[in-house]
Amino acid sequence: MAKTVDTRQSPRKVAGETRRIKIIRTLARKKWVHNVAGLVIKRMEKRGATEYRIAAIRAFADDLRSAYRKEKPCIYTSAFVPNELVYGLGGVPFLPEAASGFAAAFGFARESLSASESLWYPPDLCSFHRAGVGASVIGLAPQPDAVVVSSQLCDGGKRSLYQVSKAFDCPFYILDVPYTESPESLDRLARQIEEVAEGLEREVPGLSGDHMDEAIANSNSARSHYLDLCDLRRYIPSPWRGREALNYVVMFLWSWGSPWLTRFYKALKEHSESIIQQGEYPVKNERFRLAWSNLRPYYTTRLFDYLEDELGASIAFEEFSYMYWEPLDANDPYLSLAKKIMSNPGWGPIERRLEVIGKLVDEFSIDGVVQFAQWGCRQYNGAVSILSDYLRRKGIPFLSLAGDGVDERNSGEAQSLTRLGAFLELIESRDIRSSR
Amino acid sequence: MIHLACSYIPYEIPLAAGIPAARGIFEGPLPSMEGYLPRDFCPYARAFIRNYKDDTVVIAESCDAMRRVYDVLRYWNLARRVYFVDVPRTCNKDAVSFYAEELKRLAFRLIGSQKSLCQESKDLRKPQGLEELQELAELQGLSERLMLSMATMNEIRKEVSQVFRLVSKGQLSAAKGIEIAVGVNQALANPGLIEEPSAFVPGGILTQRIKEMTSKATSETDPPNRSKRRIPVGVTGTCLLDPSLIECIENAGLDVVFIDSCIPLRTLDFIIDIKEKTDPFHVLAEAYLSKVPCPRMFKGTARIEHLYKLASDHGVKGLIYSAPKFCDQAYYDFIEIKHGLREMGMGYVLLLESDYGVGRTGQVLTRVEAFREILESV
Amino acid sequence: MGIDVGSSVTKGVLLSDGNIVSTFMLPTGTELSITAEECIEGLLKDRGLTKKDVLYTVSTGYGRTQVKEADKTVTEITCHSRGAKALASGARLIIDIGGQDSKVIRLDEDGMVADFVMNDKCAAGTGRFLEVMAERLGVSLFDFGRMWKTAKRPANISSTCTVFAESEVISLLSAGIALDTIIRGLCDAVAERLLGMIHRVGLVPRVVMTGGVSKNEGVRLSLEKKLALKVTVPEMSQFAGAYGAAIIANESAVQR
Repeated sequence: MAKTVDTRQSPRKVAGETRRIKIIRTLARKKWVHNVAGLVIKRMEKRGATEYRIAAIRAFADDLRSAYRKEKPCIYTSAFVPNELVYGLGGVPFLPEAASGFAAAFGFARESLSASESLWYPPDLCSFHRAGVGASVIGLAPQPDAVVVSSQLCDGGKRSLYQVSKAFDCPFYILDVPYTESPESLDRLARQIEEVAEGLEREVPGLSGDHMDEAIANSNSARSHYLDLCDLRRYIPSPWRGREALNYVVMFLWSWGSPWLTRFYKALKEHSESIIQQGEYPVKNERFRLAWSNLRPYYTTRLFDYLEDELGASIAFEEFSYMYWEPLDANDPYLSLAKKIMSNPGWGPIERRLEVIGKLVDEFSIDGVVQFAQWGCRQYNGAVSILSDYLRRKGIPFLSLAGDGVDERNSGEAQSLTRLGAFLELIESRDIRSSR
Repeated sequence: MIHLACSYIPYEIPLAAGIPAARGIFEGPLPSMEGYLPRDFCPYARAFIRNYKDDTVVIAESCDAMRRVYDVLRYWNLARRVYFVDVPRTCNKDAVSFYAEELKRLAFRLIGSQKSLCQESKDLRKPQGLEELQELAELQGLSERLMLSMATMNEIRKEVSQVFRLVSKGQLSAAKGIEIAVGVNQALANPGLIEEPSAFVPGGILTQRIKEMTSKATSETDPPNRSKRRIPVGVTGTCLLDPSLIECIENAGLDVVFIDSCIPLRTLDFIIDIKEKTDPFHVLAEAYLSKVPCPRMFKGTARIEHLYKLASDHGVKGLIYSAPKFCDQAYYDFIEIKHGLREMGMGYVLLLESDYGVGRTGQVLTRVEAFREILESV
Repeated sequence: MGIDVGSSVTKGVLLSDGNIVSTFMLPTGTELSITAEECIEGLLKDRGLTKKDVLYTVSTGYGRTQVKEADKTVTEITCHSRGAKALASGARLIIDIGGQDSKVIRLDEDGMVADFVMNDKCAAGTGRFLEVMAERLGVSLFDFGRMWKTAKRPANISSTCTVFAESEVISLLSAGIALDTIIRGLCDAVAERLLGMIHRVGLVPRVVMTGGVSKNEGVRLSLEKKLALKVTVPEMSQFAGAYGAAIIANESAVQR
């Protein structure tokens, strides 16, 4: 067949490039904007803004400034790539899947999703991935210098970022994670991590492994505070609002290896201690304790007001926040990171996830488990029948709450509120509150 | 009997072990199995959920949906044994070695399951007595049998390729071609054939029967009556759920001249270069990882180039992408194919979201006819 | 002659020397072939003609194979594109919202179909969605345009699922939200659904709306706002498919 360019397939204009997107895109790359942001954060600090929030804002402001201003190489990573690797090479990570949550929270999801629609992404794909691609393509996200994905936890993560790497014509690396942990599979993964690190150093100017020790030390230090925080979250009532915890899952995915994470978890730990000491619990009349699986709607929603404030239901802990790896070893960083990756309970046979959920139920005095059934999330939603049965055998009610974390056009708030209300009535009627 | 879930689980292994095995090909999900998986889930995965009773099922790490099928079958005890093959996504040396070990482990377990030496457990990563099974396998001459199985499967694959050469020339309808390929799959699951001593031997009873079958099927079928010149199209996708879509495309007045899909063809569309004095599992692993790329693989531009070559060689004007509804691999692959082929100058790619029996719906017929009308006007 | 047997309404257009001389429409009902006959009868009776006077007939639409008189069947994609192009010169993007399906068709510079996307599996973004809502609210579909204009803002209504949207509307009513706000929200929901389809084929002016819902001014206004482009609704927008079929029939008759 002759190579002819068909004029009917006219050059595609990517949708979503509205005027305000163009403005934000331009401003995000201006030095003065980041300077002003820095001043605003300082002012917030002086005025006594909550320490852990400041730490989180600073972590992102720092990384985004470095990325947008090209002060450091920007490496796109999928959600479960250990970013100690990126920080260790002197780069800054950017997670398009997490950026989708930000886009939804700050009102840019529609443009991001429109962009992906104009690139033929079907609406049945997970909106975290669609919006991530869309935000990258319309320039809301900083431009990547390379893309690194891991094959876990889902097809969408690696495939969407592969498309992004092609859109920006930048190097793409995949960590092909074995499905089962064994000495051989760990070695194989460690070799791959090393090859990726070498590849990045070779292909991306400005990266070098000189920062690896520091990144690992940062990670271990943050981990230690994090475990303390998890202990505090066992308190009844819960010292931290679940809706906020689900927002700050982004730190858990993004910032391991960053110098800011230690400060964040330390401050959050201290904040929680203070709450407990003063007895000023966020959900004052805590009647129910829930465990939450998967993410949440990141656009404005009444769900959490209803749960926490009207019904007195705390989200005591969330599956995504479970600490699943051991401290890293700076003497063998690649093997350590391989162990971290392979310890993720969401990868491998379902029994690994069930074990974790069982633990959470016991350790956090859980009355019921809610899984947010994100539209298009095959790997989580596919396990609903198993999870439901497993919890039923433990005597714990389970709710699969259909929704969409980024695309609010795809959610029925009224239905969700009804389901949550009915679920809590069920818990109440069964009187299975764990002893306090 | 062994039920295979993916084209990356080689037929050669159960054949060498003398166990009937077939790729799972279904007519649709069973109503009695509703509820094990969500409804907004790949139709193939949902159809795969059934009660296999005393049979063995082998699942590969092909996609998120099949990972959950692996879990559901075990958790709800829907098969006697459920094995898992971890398939790499790349084809470098490390990946080939890893995959060879996976295939070896599978082979030993299958042999062991025959001899009831393999302990049945839900999480079959390290069954007891793997070394024992390896010894047994060596005693049974598994390596030699595997080499011969590869040669036999090469013969069978050549037969299927010849069938599809007739399809590309318009001498056989694509729907008939699919039917023949499905027949081959069924022959591999026929205990009357597979358990014969010469089944895995080249030129043996299996090859003979398959040759007879394909010869009979192609000679009995009248060539399609193509009095008017019809527009040639290719069909691609992850897995073609059933032949109804192909029939629909042909009824709409298009000639399907090639089909790139894992049921049943990506398993049967390549030849293994059998190297003597090399570990046969290594040979098998390398051949399977190097075959026509499936959408799940990360092999750079190999897939687009392959499709472009197929399209060019067959002179197609358009490509129809059959994506099982809710198949993420297909959705992302479609995006890549559409963009990639456009850059290479190939005009038209139509996305058809598929389900079982989709070819019998008016909605799909309308889309295919509209596609034909576009191609007619080019 | 062009006959468009749609899922809700059957339309017919008769041409003579390339000019429209008669049009007819009636509800499709359940007996498609009988409906098609009645449509043909309606078209011809108007002009005192019989079937023998018809040189060539093309049928289109969901029930196109049920038109016994048809010399040829052509899909509604091609027919709508030909019809819309003839009704609005320079048409490049056709948005057809029917009773039970919707489609978006992009034409190239020569007016030939370049790409299309259809929704015929789900009520969201179709006339049916609006009918159900209108009935629920006790409002006539003809008042949607007027109420759109009086609303200060649209209510936020999910666009992807009709069932979701209906329960949202009930919640909004309970919360005392003004009816015109809800109506405008419904129009926006339909437009939003179409927007995804439009992005997939690629937005390019001139945008033309056809099909029964094109007569709903509220939906047109919502589309214009979201696309930031004028949306043309030709006088005979409901007959675009039948007109396109008649044009193709005319060309085929000439070739004969």
